[in-house]
Amino acid sequence: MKTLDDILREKVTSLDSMPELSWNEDDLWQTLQSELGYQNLKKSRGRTMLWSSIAAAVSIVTVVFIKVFIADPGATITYTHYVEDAETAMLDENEAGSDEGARELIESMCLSDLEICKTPEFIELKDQLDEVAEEIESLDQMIAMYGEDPALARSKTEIENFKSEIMYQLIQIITS
Amino acid sequence: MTRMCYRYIKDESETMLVLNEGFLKIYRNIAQFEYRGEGGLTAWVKKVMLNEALGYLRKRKPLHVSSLDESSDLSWDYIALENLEAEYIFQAILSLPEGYRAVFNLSVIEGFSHKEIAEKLGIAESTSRSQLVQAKRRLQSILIKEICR
Repeated sequence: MKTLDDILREKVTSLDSMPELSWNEDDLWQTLQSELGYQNLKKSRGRTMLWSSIAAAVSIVTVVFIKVFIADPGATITYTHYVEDAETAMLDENEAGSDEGARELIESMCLSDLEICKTPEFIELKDQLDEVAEEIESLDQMIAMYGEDPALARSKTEIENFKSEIMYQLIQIITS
Repeated sequence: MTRMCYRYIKDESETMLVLNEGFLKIYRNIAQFEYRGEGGLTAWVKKVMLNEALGYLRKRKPLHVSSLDESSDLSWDYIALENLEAEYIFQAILSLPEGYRAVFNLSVIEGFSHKEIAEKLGIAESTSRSQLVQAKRRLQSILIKEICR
């Protein structure tokens, strides 16, 4: 005959094989994995991924830099660095001022109804001078916006030389 | 294994931690397992888990046991008991106080002697006996309510 203990034992152990209790298996495995150092492995994998991503990004930037700035033979730019003393700076300012002065002289002479100012050659040169002045103004704005870009600086130098040349020709016409 | 640990611990998340620790011990010590016939691995795993559950009970706080009269005049309606749902009995065992539950599980379900239980739980043999009697009384009163319904 079965004893009380036998009945209770049979009843209770019959449940052992039944999946009555539900567990969050993900949590259980996560805990097991963390105990076994899987998390550390995952972290180190994460770090490896991070460094790989950084390396890939640096490589892409380097390739783009080489393509844009180095591989194009037409874009060789030479930089010159010099220390400007106060005297030279003042001379440059005077030069700029002399440009403006020459322009004012040309305009004031033409205001006095000078015949030469009405010649097609003079009018054409005067128009060119106005266009160049506008061009320089817009270049100055671009430099203010984007900084001292070498290409902009080179363009400005070239256009200022052209402006000086036009003014020289205009003064020659007036004084001839 | 889950059921067995839960019988002692009565807390799902704590049972999960105990299972976790137990399986880790099994994983780390699997080389020490010697196959000695069918059911050997199950018995070994069960033993590890049981020790883990008891270790948890010992670590958490001193097992609450009370010295009570060992005399017992339990009279069970065996037929009615046989007809009770296993799940109900399981829940009734879970409702026992921790000390009663541990001794009851070790004695009735696992089949350990009072001497072995005393060693495992760090209590006196007499305490183990009295706890078992009290556990059965408490269980009886719970189950009778269900039988009489």
